[in-house]
Amino acid sequence: MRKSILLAMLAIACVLPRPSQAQNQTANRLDRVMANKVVRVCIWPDYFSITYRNPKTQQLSGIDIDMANELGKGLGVSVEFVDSSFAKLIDDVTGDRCDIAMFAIGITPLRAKSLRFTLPHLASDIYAITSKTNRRIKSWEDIDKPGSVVAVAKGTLHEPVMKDKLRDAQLLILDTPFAREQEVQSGRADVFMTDYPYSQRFLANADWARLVSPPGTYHITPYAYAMRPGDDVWHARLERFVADIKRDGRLLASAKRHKLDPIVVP
Amino acid sequence: MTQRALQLRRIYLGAMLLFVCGMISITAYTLWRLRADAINSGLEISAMHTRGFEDFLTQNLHVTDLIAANALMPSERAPDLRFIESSFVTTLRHAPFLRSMSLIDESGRIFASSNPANVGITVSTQTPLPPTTGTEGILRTGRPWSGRDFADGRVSTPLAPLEAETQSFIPVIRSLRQGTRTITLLFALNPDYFVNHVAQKLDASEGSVEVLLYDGTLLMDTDPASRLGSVHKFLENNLILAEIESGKFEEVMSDGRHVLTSYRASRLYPFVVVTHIQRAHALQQWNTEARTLLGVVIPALIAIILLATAFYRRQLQIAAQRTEAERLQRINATVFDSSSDAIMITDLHADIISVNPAFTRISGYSAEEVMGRNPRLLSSGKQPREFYVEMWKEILRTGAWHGELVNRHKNGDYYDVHLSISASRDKSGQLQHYIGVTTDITERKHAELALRRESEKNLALLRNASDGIHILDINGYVIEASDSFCSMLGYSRNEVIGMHVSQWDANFDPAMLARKLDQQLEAKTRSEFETRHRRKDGRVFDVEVSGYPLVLEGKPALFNSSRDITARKQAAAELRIAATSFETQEGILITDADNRILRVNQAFTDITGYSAKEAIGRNPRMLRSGRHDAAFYAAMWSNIKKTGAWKGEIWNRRKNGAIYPERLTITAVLDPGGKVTNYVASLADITMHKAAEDEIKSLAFFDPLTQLPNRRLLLDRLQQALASTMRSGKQGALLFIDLDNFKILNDTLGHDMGDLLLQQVAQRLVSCVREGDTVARLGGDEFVVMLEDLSAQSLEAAEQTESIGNKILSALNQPYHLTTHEYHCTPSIGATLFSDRQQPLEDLLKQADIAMYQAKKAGRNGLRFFDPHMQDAINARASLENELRKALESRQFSLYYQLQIDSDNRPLGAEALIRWLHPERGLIPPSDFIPLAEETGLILPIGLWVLDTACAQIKQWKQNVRTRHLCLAVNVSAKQFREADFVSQVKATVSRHAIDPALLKLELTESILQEDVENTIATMYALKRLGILFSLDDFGTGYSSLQYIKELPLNQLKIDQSFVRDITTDPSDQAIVRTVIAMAHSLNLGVIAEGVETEEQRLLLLEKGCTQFQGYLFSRPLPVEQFEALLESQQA
Repeated sequence: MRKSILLAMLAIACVLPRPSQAQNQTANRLDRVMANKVVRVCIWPDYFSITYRNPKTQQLSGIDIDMANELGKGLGVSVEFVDSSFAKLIDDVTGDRCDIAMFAIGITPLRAKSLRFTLPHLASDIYAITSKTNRRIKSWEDIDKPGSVVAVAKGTLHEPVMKDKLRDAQLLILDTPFAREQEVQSGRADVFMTDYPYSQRFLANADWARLVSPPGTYHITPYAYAMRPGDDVWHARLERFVADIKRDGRLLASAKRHKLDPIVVP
Repeated sequence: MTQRALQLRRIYLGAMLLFVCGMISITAYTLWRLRADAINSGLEISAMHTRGFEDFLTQNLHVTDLIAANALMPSERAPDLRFIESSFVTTLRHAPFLRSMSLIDESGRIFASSNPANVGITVSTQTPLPPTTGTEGILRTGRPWSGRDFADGRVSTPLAPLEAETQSFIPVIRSLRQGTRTITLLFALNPDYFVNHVAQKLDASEGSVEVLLYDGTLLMDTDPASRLGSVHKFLENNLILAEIESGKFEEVMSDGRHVLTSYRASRLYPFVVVTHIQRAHALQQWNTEARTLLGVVIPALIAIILLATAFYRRQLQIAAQRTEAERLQRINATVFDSSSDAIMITDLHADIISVNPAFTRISGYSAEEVMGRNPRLLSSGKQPREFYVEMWKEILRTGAWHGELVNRHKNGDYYDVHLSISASRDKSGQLQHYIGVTTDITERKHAELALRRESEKNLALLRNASDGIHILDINGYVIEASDSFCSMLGYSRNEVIGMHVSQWDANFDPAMLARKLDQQLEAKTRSEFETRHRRKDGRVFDVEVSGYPLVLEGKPALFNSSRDITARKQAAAELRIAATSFETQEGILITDADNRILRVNQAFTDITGYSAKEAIGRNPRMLRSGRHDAAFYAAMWSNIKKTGAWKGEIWNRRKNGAIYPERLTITAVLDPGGKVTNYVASLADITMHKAAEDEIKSLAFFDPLTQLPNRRLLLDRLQQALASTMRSGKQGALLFIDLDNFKILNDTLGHDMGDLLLQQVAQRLVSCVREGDTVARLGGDEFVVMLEDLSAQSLEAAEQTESIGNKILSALNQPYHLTTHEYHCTPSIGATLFSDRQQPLEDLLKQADIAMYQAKKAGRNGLRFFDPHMQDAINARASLENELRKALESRQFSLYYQLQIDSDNRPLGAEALIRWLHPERGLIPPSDFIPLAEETGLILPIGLWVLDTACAQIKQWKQNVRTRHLCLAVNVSAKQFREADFVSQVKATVSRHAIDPALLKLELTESILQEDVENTIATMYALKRLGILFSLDDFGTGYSSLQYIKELPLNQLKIDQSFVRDITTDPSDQAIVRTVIAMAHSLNLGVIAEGVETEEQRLLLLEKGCTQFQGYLFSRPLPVEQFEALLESQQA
């Protein structure tokens, strides 16, 4: 009770100096979030198990939806989800359309130039999905062959990785929602590349699809939350949050719920 | 196999076959039905899939049709192809069954496409179906292309279908009328989408789906190995698609797979969806079910077959048992009906419920008569009540009884039966019936009785034999023994039976005995050996054993006869002694009464120098030395005559002339008549053998057995006593003592027993008389006691004599202990007094003898004095004797002949019987004069006369052919037979008449055989050598030793008429006769029965095996004329 009174008083105190908020905008995002009583979280609503919006119910679900809600709860503010995608990630974060991007963002060198990451909470390798009727792609080695068409979503970590790795196959970079799946299903592409969380959930729903796994480790990418660089307080607060959810088991519990516990980073 | 078993087997096999076939049929039908159901259901599934896939494909094509219809078409207003292409891409985003959308111009060239790479490529629009008819707005489908899109694709042709596993697509064309223009939309249809859809519904292992154009071109196939674009002709051939758009059937694919195929034509477009369901898959469920069903049915079937087989076997067994039981029942019924024993079965209350035919035969009662009645009705009443009480007790106790009893026949006759009763119980032990089996043993009983009687007779015969007869079994154990044998050994009969020969034989060790026994058994004829027997009291004596092997009751046995030869041995010993003493250092010479030397010994030769040859026949006078004068010799001879002996020293001369002194003893040997028969002289150089002299003397005056004075000494003493009575006037007496029945004792207990008895009698006699009286033994059982110095008064003397006589009677009446036997013997005593009257000594003895006979006649065991009346009888006898002598001289005797015939009444010969025709007394029977003739010795001349007459008759008969074969039997008395020259007499007679000696048959009585056996045998053999035949007369009346009979050269046994007389009535006579005949046959002797008077006797004898007869039945003894007449009449 005392805590809620204290929080209420603190909230009032935060609201009071609102006029001066603009000046300190870049100075302390935490204060601003506390002052606005909302934290804006960028998500990619196509991201199965991470931040997925069910088109039939428009409900969000996924491990990072859970974690964002936890964050909001921890900060004592409401959570506002802002649709984004890997293609728009850097713009959305740096353009201050959200306070934080929480959709298992692979830490890539390109992103690290523009964004500041928390410590990773998940880590995934790359997987390929093909159609069950596709007779040419039987194993990972069949992918990088002349005539093959490999689809990736624009802006995902797979785009630079596959650009770098593919030698003979044609890379198809798509930026419409579910475009990768459509291309593969219609036969216009042979495979699309994705990560562990997406592949797991996708295979569970699409009975025409088939998983092609790399024979060994192909390219493991750590996933973390990203924010605009330059705000140490905010970053520290989030690092504390990540440490908290790892420590108190909330991360693992949620991972288990979404069948992602194999890729949780301890 | 029985009928029943065969039938059972047929039923079993039939039922099993029916059942198994039924089960198999039901199972097979079920399986077939299930399989048909499974196939049908597979076909249904196939049809269902086909319908679903057709629907899916048709809808997708329909959507494609709609997309085409609503596609944004370039118009003259807005010919912006970029925009159109973009709208195509957007459209495709929601149509994964389409790979690309393009627009083609009339020449078929693509001028706008969702895939920019397609632009510029020309596609033929002529081949797709349905063909263009002018009507636009139809979706037309072309042949499949290989590749991802038209840009990299190549169209297939029926001759060059697509390679397997290549990516493909199907061009679909839709023409749109736009004003005056016709715009054609070209779609690249994505078959993968459809195949994926099918794959989700139908696993590749379950079946495959094809999509064919109406022209048979394969558009899609879930089987990756199929070659799209190839043409499936069967569609054209088999389906009349215009009429039937769907169907299902079972088919075999070109690769041999059985599939359930269904097809369905699209309701809008010209293609057909064909689904093949693997029949194997469709039948998977059925397979499992079939296996389960068979898994249940087969074991169940096997179990049922096994159970049924077990049941069948059990039934077979039961059937076999029932057959066996019926068979046994039939056997039992047959046994019951055909048994010779009467069988009756009663209920619990002993009421008869069943009897067999034998019962009726034996008891006389029919089954109806006895049914329900108690077997008591057979009771004869001969058994006491207790018998039945005991019987029932036994039955109730042990469940069975058997024994013999007498029953009564229905007709009242009694019959003996052996009855055995057993109680029959059911399985629980409950008494059910009594079964009585009765055997009629009446005949057996009779036979047993007859047999017993006969064997008793035989036993009696055996036991009464004089020799020790014993029958041994093969091991030497006594089976049977005669009383004489028992007494010989001193055992009772019961002890002897079962004794082993080694228990009494004292000569041989057991092994030797066993050998002897074997030899005897193997001999087959008479065997004989000497041995020694040991009596129960340990005394050992010599015996001669002779034996015959026999077969008794089928087993070999030995008929042995032991004869005590102690006396013979003793005699032999004595002879040996005599011979030994004869051959001593002392010279002995024996002369006859006329002083002719008969015999000398070696010592005589040694002493005198004269060999036996030189000495024999000469007078001892030749030895005279001349040193003694005639008076010496006269005195010597006078002394010898007076005293019977002389002894002294005398000088004699050897052959070589040397004179030597010798001690000479001369003893006169007297015959029983007191006449000198021999002189015995023993001579020694100076010294003489006192002992030999004494011995000789003893032998001359004393009885060696009893040491009593012998007849000679008695007569000597009597002479002296008579002289004494003359002087003193006192009277003396002679007591003649004869033991009653001594002969029987001798015969039954043996001579040694007799000798023992005589010795004891002698002792008792001596003890009865005063000193000075003389007790002498005359021989045999005859003793004489001479009393002297009796009263001068006859009466007193008689009283004194009677007193001593009574004393003797009483003493001799005391029992005698003869080893183990206690023997009772009585004497008969005849007494006579003598005084001064001059009487011959012999007369005195005769008087005493006569008196003794009187005593015997008076019943024995008594004393009789000589009666002068008796003298009269003696005198009468003497006169008869005189007449008898005269009769011989005056030919008053004649021979009668009694016919002897064989079984066919053929005359064999005759017995010559003497008859005395007294001039005054008429015909005197032989029984009246023959004994007298025997006594007086007249029998000798009479016998000779008979022999001579008989031989003369034989000679005479020889003339006649009817009589020349006749054999004449002549009776020979013992006395005649024993005459020293009997053999020569017979020989002389036979040769005198020149007859065939084989026609002369001498009839001897048994008494001849009983005395002086060795001589008898010698005589008989001598006669036999002449060719004379022998018949043993009166056989069976005496106690002939069988042993001797065997030794005798007999030709015939004559059954005494005393046995023949009662043969028809007396079974014992029958038995004796049968035994005699059997014995005769066994000894290979002829046998003739005398005294045959009736035909009945003849038949009976004939039946017993006797084939020769003599008797009144055939002829009385007849004078020769009548006899010859009889023969003539018979032969005529």
